[in-house]
Amino acid sequence: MKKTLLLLTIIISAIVLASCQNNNDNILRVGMDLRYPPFETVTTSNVPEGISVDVANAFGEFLGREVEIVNTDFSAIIPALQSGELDIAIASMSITDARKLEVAFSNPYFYFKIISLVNKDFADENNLTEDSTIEDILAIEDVNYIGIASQVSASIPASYGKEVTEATDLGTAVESVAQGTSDILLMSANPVVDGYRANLNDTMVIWDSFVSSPIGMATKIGNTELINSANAFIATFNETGGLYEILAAKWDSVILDDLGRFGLSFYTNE
Amino acid sequence: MNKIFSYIFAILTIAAFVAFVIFRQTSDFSFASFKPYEGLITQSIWNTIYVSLISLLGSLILGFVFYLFSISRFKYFNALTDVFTEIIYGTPLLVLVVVMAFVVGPAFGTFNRNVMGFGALIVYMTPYMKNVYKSAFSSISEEQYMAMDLFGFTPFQRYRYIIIPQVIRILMPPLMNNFSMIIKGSALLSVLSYNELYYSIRVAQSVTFAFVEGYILMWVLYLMITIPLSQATKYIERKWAL
Repeated sequence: MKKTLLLLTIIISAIVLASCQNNNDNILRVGMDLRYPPFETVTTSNVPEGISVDVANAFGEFLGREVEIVNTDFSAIIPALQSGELDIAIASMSITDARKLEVAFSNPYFYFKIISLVNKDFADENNLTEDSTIEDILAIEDVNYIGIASQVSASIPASYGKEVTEATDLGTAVESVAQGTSDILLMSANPVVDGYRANLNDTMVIWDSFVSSPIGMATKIGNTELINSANAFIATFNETGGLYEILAAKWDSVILDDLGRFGLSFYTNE
Repeated sequence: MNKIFSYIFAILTIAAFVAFVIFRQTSDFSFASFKPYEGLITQSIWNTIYVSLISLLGSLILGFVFYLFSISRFKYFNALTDVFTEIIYGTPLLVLVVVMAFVVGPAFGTFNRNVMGFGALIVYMTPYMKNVYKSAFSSISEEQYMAMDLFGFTPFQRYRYIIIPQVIRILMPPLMNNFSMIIKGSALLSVLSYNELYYSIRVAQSVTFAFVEGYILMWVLYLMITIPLSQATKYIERKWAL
């Protein structure tokens, strides 16, 4: 029996000891979900890549701190900020009132126009075209909206009093629009266009934007020092040779290729 | 021969069903778009096997501790085992993974989510492992212990020649089943963004948008891990049968 107790003590102390590793203070731990190209994605060899990754690295340079990209499921980013695991989220996160209760936001540095991916048959039935307006969409009764849990794609239709089915990831949401189980998915432009590309015969894009959703960096509430630094950093974006120019040089063609209509300015203008 | 044909037809039936489902959704079915992600996906298969092996080992150890608790003379340890078992049996693995990584982990100051995810798998499998030990050791009757006493076996001899050869035979099949359960359960670590099989396919899908192909691919890859395992289990069961 004593042996069992001893064993138990050893196991418990091993767990506690293993958990007492200190986080290196000088490393800036940046959270994002690496499944949303071109902003947050990975190379084929699993190295983080994308516009948000570039922003994060530039912010690290600005602060003189080393940056570690912590790949975190989008819905887990806010809990991870609160628990102290992440210092900051640079994750294309829309600034919303509900989220402001949980985390502190910087000033906006991008604007994500939320547009619609629509099932083709549904669009034909309701005479919707690529250039229909959101009023046209909202006027239709009996629409099955689908959104992604914890993202604005779920909360925006809800704010218009529409019922929204919540999917857990982008893949299943796009798939259900293509298959017709849902009619409309609201998302930022890149996922919508990518979803359309993958289902050319079953879906279409409506470009009129529901909202222009401001994107901010987020920290734990009370981390004013880091938020102030972030705001100072964001203030430099518009300067000549600032980050917008650097990003545009690198990403304009990628975004233009993808969206077919716009470059990076689609995201930097309100 | 008849038996082999039956199996071939059974497999063809399922394959036909899968093919039907696929071609209802997409006309040009091809895994080609996942080719650039070959390295990532291969890595994730190894990660899946790695995390499963770690969890198997961990739950073997922790399961044995709880088995000792359950046969302990101290009522407290018996009760602890019962309460623990009841709680784990009633907890979905997904809930356990999330709670371990985002609630328990930070409480102990650890932000290593992967480790906490492994821990969740270990904790989840522990009661099942405890039961495996329980049924295995209960197969050795009192008379055998009396006989061992009678012949004056040393503890080493008891385990080497009497207990382990009998126990391992009973232990192996449920152990392999549990291993298969761990492999399947490890898919849930994708919520922690751990690069296991399910996650890597979703990452590739976020770029390729080839969802039907991706889901089929991950399905097939899981089967390529689990089916050989279950066949090996059957083989061992037959070989070691009394």
